[in-house]
Amino acid sequence: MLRLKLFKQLAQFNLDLKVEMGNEIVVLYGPSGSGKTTVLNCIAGLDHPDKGLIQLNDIRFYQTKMRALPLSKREVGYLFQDYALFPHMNVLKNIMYGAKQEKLVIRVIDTLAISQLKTKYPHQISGGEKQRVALARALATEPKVLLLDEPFSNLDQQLKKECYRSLMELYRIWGIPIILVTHDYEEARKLGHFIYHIDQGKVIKREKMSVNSIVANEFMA
Amino acid sequence: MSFEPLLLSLRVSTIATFLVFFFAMFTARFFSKREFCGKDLIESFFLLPIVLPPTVVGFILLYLFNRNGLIGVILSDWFGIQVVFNWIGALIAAIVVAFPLMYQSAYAAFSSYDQKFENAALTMGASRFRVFWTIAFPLAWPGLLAGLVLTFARAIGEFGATLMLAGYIPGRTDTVPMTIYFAVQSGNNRLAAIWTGILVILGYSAVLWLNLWSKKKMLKYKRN
Repeated sequence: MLRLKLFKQLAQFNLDLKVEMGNEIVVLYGPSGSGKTTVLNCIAGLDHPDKGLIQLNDIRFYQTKMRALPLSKREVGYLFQDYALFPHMNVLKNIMYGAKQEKLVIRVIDTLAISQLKTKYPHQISGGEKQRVALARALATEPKVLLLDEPFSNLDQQLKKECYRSLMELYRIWGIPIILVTHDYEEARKLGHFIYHIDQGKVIKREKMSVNSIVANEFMA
Repeated sequence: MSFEPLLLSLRVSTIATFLVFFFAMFTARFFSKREFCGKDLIESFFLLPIVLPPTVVGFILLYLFNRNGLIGVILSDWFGIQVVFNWIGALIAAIVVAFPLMYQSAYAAFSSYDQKFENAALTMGASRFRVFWTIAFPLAWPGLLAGLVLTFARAIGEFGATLMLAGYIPGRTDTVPMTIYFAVQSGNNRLAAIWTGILVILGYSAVLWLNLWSKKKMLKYKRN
């Protein structure tokens, strides 16, 4: 169970948001600059709210007036918008960077079908491949929660479909809470169990998706 | 012709480069990451040797490091180290004049890549120490190396401040630039020309090697 209660004063508006989720895929959907990435940064520990609570199961990442849990101890997998693959390391070294067990790395690499890329550098692979490598790298750390910041925004439709499939396959195996940020409603509808519509830092609508609309079932049927 | 000046210059510039590299790198790293009150004042102080004439830097150092100076008295009384008219004086002069070059290069190098790489490493559970050595340092390395070469070149060519602090004592503080100056003063232009040639070859080799290395290594990966 991930509990978020965030308040943070931003330059244009106040981020004020409450989310509670189990092992589901929650999509934060909204226009650019609505505070979605700040939410992910607060969960990961790259940023801090002014007040509130961030708690994953019984571990408190942040609570008002309490010392925040260092980001290295949060066990959060974070897939950045442009993947942030280390340019000076090849794909295998990127994935191994935070990996806890080699066995798991092999499994992730196989699941995402990227074993042929192991010796390549990030600039030598395509956008879709980068996306899968970044996903593998995030999962190799055995995260307790996965944060995805517009991971499919730079991909064409065909690649997006493939990546949706990979994500759902990994979700089926891992079964951890996933928070996905997007400004593409179609994507939100396909992937999310819940969609939180965010505007100016506030939840303006919460949608529970019917099981049939989730791409997981679409692909895994 | 004695090679003593070359050996002394190499000793002074190598030690100075080594010390300046690490000190300036960690200082630049700290300053590139933090914002605090008085930061601009301290940074301007670091860069002062670039804008001041070497003789002024030398005079300030002489004031601080002479036997009765603020620092000189401590070094002399506590550690028995005499800086003035000693090769250590040449070393201190080289460190002070070369520091701003390394600092500026390192600062630019640490600011040249996207912070997202370090953030990504931190979210993967890496300690800040590990992030520095595995992410920040390799990504900043081209800029750091350029600073390293500049530092060495500046240290080996240092003249004005060294003359003020270490003086010219043959066999003791006669670095190559100093030898050139005093050779010309005494009318020995041939000796001055030989040492000038050696310094030009050293400097040219360093810059050429840096350029070739940069082309080869920096194209190995493109910045995302």
